[in-house]
Parts: sequence; C-alpha cells; structure tokens
Amino acid sequence: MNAEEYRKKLELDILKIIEEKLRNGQMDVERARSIARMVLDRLHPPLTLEQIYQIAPTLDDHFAELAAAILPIAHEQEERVKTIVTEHAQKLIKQGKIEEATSVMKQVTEKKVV
Amino acid sequence: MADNISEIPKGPPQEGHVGKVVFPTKEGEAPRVEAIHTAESIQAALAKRSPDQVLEMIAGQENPLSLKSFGSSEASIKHPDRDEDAIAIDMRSGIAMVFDGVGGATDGDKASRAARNLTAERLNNIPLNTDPEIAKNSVRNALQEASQKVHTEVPGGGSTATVVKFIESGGQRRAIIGQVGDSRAYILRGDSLRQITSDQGLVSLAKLDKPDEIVEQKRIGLKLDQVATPQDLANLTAQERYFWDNRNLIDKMVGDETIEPQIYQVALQDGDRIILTSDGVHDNLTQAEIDRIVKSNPPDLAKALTEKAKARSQDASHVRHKPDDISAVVVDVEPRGQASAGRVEGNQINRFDQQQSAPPDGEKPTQTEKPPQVHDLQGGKEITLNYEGKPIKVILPAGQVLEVGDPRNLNIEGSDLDGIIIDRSDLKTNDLRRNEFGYKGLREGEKVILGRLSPGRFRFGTEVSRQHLEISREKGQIVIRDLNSKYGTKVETS
Repeated sequence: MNAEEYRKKLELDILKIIEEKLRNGQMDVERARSIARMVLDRLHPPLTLEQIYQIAPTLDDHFAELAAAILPIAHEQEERVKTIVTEHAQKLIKQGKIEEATSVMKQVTEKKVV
Repeated sequence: MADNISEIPKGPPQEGHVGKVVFPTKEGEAPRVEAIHTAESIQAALAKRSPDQVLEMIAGQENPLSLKSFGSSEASIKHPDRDEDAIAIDMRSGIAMVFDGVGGATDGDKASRAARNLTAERLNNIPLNTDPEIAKNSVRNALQEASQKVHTEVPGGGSTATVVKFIESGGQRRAIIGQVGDSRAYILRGDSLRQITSDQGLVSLAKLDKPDEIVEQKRIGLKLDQVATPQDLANLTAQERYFWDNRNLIDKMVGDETIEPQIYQVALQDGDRIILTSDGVHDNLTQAEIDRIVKSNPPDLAKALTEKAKARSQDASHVRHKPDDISAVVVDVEPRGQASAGRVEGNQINRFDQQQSAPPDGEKPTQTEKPPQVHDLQGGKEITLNYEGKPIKVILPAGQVLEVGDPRNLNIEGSDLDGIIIDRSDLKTNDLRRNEFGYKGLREGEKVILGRLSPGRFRFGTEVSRQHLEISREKGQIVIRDLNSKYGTKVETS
C-alpha cells in the first residue's frame, strides 16, 4: 500500500467511526464537523508514510473517539521500528560489535529511537 | 450516465448563480451543496465519493476554496433556440468550464454537452486537496476521455474545451486549466488582464512550431485581437489577413480520436479573477474592449461580456461582427478568512507571492532594492517565484547553494536553455561553461527532483537528503518544494 492509499485508508477508518458514533447517538453533528475539519487539515496530501506515522498519533489528542483508528497505526509503526532495529542489532552482533548492539537495543527499550 | 444529467439553464444567468451549483447533479441525487450529517448519508456518500470528499461534505464546506462564480451563455442570433456552447460551474467541487460545439445543426450542441458532462463528472471527482501534478494528469485524462466519447458517440461533431479545476495544495489555491481549441482562459490580477491559454488554431494552421515563429504567431494573434475598423483590416499583411479570414478554424478539438490538451497551472492570489470565454466573446470584441469591460467591474462580469458580444454580433456594419454562440464564466478568488488559519504555511506563501510575483501581463517586475529575504521551506513547504531578474538562491544544508534563474543572468556561455539551475558550491569563477559544473536545464512544464539519490551533475554533501527538493517551472514561474528533507531547504530572494 503506498502512502496515498494508506492516507485514504486512515480517513476511511475515521469516517467509519464518525458514521457509527452518529448512528448510535454517541456523537453530535458539530463534533463530527470538527473532526472532519481537523482531519482535512492534518492529513493534507501529499504525505509520505513517515509523515502519516508522525501525524496519526496526534489525531486523537482532542478527539479520543478516534483512538480505535489510530492505535493500529501506532502499533504498526512500533512493530516496524522494532524490526528495523532488531535487524540492525543482529547485523552488529554478527560483526562482533556487541556493545554497539546492546546500546541500540537499550535505546529502543528506553523509547529513544521510536 | 452523463445523459441523465439535466441541461444547464440557457439564456441569461439566473439569480443564485453566485457561488452556487449551476451544474446539476444526477437525477434523484441530493444537491451537492448540502452538508451531510447522518450515518446513512455518510454511507451513501462513501459509495460514490472519496474519503476526502466525504470529509469535506461533513465539514460543511460549501465553498471551501472561497470562490465566487458567474456564468452566462447566449445562443447565436442565427439559431436562438439552440446554444451550441455549454458551460458548467460548481464551486463546491471547484470546477468551471466552457465548451464550444463544432459540427452544425445536429452535432455541435450534442458534442459540447457530451464533452461537458463527462468532463464535469470526472473533474467533480478530483478532491479539492489533490496534489497539483495529480490534478494536472486527471484534467488531461478527463479531456482525453471526453474526446474519445464524443468521437464515438457524436462522429460528426466536436467541441473546444477550456476547463478549470480549482484545488488547494499546501495551503496554496491553484487553478489547473485544460485547453483544447480556441476558447480562452484569462486572469485579471490587480489591474492587469492576461490571456493564460494559447489558442490551438493559428499555430497548427501555419505549422509554426519554432520559438521565433511562435513569437510571430503571438504577435499576429494580438494584432488580430485589436482589429476594430475597416482601416485596421486594410492594414493587415497578406499573412495576417489569411489568419483573420480563417480565425474560425481550429485543428484540435474534443472529438478527435486522440488529443493532447494543453495544461496550465496558476498559483492563485486573493483578488484574482479567472475568466473563461468562447470565441463568441473574444471574436466579437477586441482585446481592448474586453479589457475595458473587465476593468469596469460590473456586478455580473459574465453577463456583461456576453451582452456586449451579443450586441456586436448583431451589428453587421462592424468588422468584428460574428453571429455565434457566446459564453463566459467568471470565477473570483476571494480573500480567505480565518477558515484557513489551520494552514499557516500557505498563508505565508501567499503573502510572499503577492510581494514577489511579476505583473500577470508579463511586464518585468519593478526593480527596487530590498534586503534579501530567506524563506524556510523545511517540512515540505513550497514557494512559487519568478525566475527572471536576479537568480534565486536555494540554500541546502552545510551551506551548499544552488542558483535558479534565467541563464542570461547566470553567465552560462553557449546555453540554449531558457531556465536553469546551477550548483554554485564549487564555483571559482563567474565564467561558467556548460558541462563544467552541475546544472540542470528546466524548460516550461518540467520538474526535477534533486538529492543524493539522483545527483546528476550535482555534488551533494551527505547532509542533503536522498530526495531533498523538487524544482519545477510552471507558466513562467519557478516552484521550489522541500520534500520533507531531514535538514530542510531555504530560499533566499532579493
């Protein structure tokens, strides 16, 4: 999935949340409008995947009901970084750079890399 | 299907044209200006529209780009019951278009309507926040698709097309204009009226395709636009008279099996006015008359233009008199209110454009000494600049500098390029010769992505990102865009 498809998927997920909350009476029209305006402003194309990963976690800052759409992305980003770092650490270990590998892994566990 | 779309109201513009939909939606479909606010309406909208468009509808942005429109179409006095022109305006989805049917009594109106309906459907579906490059391709594709449809369904007919999709990208409102044939798009900026599009008629007729011949064609075109008296006509040379006598002819139209529409992009400023006309307007009126009417600022400019042109078409004693269908569409770019406050970067760029842009009529900007201004594009921002005059300095990390400008001002010996980017970081002398230093020529409509991934002749430092910035040349202006580079891009202008 390219960045634009990913951006649209995120918008679609948010729309489904709005639709469901409106249907269940858990959201009023004014709030739906505010969310739509915020999403249009922040997810303004063109965006790279990296930018989407950076922006997505901010979308539920003021609209907690969007968390359901945001969490999978945050999780995905975390997994992606883990994979990259693990591969990097394995490479360092194979090269005998144990201390460097340990340092990289420590940074991840202390959330310095993510 | 397009046939389900009802016709544009004919005759004088109706009350309510301003800023509202005049291109009807499909039968049974709710008017698009209605915001949606129920789960069911979201579901229904999602079946037809992109997530961006549905969000725009929920946001209730009835006129999200702050555009105001006017439209008027008058049938020819020769056939007052059959208007072979077709127009469409929808500021909700940012479209404005004029089509002029070709093919006579049975086919001209069918062709223009078929072309309009399909093009409008396609352009309606381009989200307002589309990237300009994507929008350009979409406009081109829409016109090509319309051409195939007309070619198949109305084999005896064709149509000119001047269509505009308004978008907003990076906080900058833009007009993406597609052109086939001899309908026109103009821009009024400040006190200057300029024709944006080039007629696709004279050039092809005369096979003028070299730069000096195109200049000659433009000169002739401008001269013909000013013919107002029998004496003016008598003063034309034989070649000019040939063009005058054949000014009705076009050799590119929507309806040809294949077409290559001309695509233009204009970065809009507050107060700009985009004006589309069919040749019923600009053949009946001189350029000076159009200029005068536009600058007289009538309450409904589209109506004023078509009424004046119609009056001329009825005056058989005038050399320009030409009974024809007459159409005009006008879109005003209104100043943005607080609604756009969330896109601060764009507002900054708009302000900069207003200070730096050349007058739209192509006159050189007034040369006043100002201290250099540095514009930080970090984070994917872009800036649109004129490249004439002093070179624009693009400052990359670690002090590496590119200069962008007209080669005549960059001292490139033997360059036949009319736009160029130079890497000055290793520059020892001002006496540049081709192939000695990094350079990239940039012709109209071209763009280049610069960075370590594709260095070409440039020598980039390690601080420069793999894809660092994009530079494009559009409509005589240079657009510089940072591609979310790690250490950013700055632009220095005098």
